[in-house]
Amino acid sequence: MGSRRLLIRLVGLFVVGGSLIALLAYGFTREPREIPTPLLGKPATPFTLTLFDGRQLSLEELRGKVVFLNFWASWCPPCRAEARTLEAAWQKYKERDVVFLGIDIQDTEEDAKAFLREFGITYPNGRDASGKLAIDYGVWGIPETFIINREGRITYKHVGALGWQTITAKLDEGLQGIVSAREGKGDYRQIR
Amino acid sequence: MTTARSGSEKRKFRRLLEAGLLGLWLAMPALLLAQQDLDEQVRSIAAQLRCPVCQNLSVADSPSEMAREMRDVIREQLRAGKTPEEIKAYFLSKYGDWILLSPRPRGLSLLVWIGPFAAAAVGIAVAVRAVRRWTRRSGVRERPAPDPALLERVRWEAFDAHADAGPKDPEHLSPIELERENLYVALREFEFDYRSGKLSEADYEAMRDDYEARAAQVLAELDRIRRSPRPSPQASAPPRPAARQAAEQTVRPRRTWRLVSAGAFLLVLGLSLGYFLSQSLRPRMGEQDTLTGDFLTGTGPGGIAPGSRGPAENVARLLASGRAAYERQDWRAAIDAFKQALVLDPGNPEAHTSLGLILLRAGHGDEALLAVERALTTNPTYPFALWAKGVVLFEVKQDYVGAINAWETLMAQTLAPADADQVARMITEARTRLAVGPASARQVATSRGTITGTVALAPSLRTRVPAGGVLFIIAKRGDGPPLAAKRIPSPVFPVEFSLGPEDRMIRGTPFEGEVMLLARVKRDGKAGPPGPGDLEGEAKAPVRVGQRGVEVVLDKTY
Repeated sequence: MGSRRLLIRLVGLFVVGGSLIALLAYGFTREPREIPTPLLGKPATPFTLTLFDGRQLSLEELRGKVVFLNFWASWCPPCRAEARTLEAAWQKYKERDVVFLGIDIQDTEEDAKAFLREFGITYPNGRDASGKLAIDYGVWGIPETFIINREGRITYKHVGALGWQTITAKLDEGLQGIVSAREGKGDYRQIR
Repeated sequence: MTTARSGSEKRKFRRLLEAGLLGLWLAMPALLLAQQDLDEQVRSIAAQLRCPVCQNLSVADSPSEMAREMRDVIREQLRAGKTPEEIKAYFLSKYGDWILLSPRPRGLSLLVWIGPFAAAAVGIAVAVRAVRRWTRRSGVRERPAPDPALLERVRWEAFDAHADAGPKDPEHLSPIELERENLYVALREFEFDYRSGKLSEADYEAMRDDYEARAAQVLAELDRIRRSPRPSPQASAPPRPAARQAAEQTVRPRRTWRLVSAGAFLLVLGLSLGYFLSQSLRPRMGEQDTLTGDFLTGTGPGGIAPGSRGPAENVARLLASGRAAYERQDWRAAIDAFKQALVLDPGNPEAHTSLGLILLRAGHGDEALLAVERALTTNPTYPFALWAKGVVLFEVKQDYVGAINAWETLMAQTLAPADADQVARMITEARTRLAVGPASARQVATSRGTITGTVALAPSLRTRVPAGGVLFIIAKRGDGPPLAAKRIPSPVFPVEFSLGPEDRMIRGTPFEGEVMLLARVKRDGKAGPPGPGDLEGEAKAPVRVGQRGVEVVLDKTY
């Protein structure tokens, strides 16, 4: 009778204490700054962007192509780090059904243009002056990149600087229409 | 829209305008309220969203660029007629559950909702148990733990041995043996009561353990007496005899009393803690401030005194009381309230506009215009100020073009249908006046005996305007004291002015005929003769009261 009660108490203690420790372990080992995106596999929000050269470009026009959508700002070091790689990838994929599109956020026009000149960026870029586009895509840490497939669905999101291998792998997946199960993460800067 | 309208409608419109000037809040409440309502709605939605930049602040409180953009998005969607729920759903679809400051009760977030209640329940259970244990001790002194062997003997003697020992004659028992027998009887009674369900298990165990220990002590005492060659009852003072009835009578009431007092103590402790903590919390007033502050937290004066609310709350309160005073037509109180609001929030457009309207009612058209312009520098699209600007230009300046411009800017915004209707009618009226010419209006102005015109700055003096200077416009007759004077702080040249009977220095002196018109910029802002650094100018010829378009050029400096 007494020993049984002791056993029950011990088991109870283990269950309660163990679950508490498990919860704390889960909570403390997660990065609280991260905002997981609910957008994977969802249709990309349509938009029309005024490019730095004055042209208008809408996402609708790019239906049937894979879109590499990159949010950046001239003041963010990881954006500088990935800029040359992005341009090189664009040179490799421009002959295929892929469009690179850069969206500059929280930035001034002069700084943004200087940045594009500095890295010799040739793919289309525009500025999101009101910040509405960034909110539409749930942007929180730049650079952020979305890959949108031919049907206009988001197949991949990457927070932070991209490397060559990730770009090529995810673009190939996008061309085949494969939706990634999880977003990727690299070195990023918090938006302002 | 037709410009030719029936006379009755015109009269109706005049009445509308007059009503507007006599009780502006009656003509304009919807517009003002719509603006405030929208701001309030934006705030209430933004307060439920978490800022992706600051992460521990709401979008309403965060100073980040992102939060500002989000507030704009909220405002835009509200204007487009979306419900708060739809707007929240939009943000949720972009950022997921993370964006909600209070997570939805599902999945792991459920713990956040259940956890506090579970913790409170566990805490109460622990407290109850502790209190019950404490009351069970019923004032018994801590005894050394009884010898287990003796305890065994007690149990044996009380239950098993008692069956064949037969009833003992109390006559032949020493007091200490009597004590032992009484304890045994009590133990057997407890057992019986417990079996028959009169005693709860916890109570039974507690009493049993207590009595068994006491009986063990008695046995030990008896052993000692038996071992000692000459027993001396005095030396071995028997323990306090405690018959069962006595025990019951003392333990029961004492237990309930203790339970009640413990419960009351905990309740009072909880309530006072809650009360004083909430009293010593107050909103942060600045960067250097702590969240709390009082004798409880030792961080200086705290407590929610009426004057130490958050600045935003205070401004809102002052504006509300100003509005109420305005509606009562208690101008003094309204002016005080709006001025206090401006001390806390120097650019507050509502306070500026309201003061402007009060000035307009008092006949100070120029100052009214200045006040309204100040409101518009803070918020160029503030509907109430745009409306008021149009009214001031229309009524005082007969500047119909300006009025139309202001009202058309207002029409570009989303207004309530009734308001839009009214403003449209006012624009039409202004257009009609523009076509007819302001003859009738001029007659009104002349009959009121007002001088209107502009004060300009000579080009050579453009850089000589003293900072913080105040413009005085003075009407004199001969060398005597000024007949009328107007004070315009921080003037922006060219200044348009009107000088009327309401500006007279002495009430009752007639304001008519010819006067000399002077303008003076004073560094010290005090009326009086000019001092070094002051500027002055004079109308070229004597001015008739009722004259319009008088030009005064500031061309002298001291």
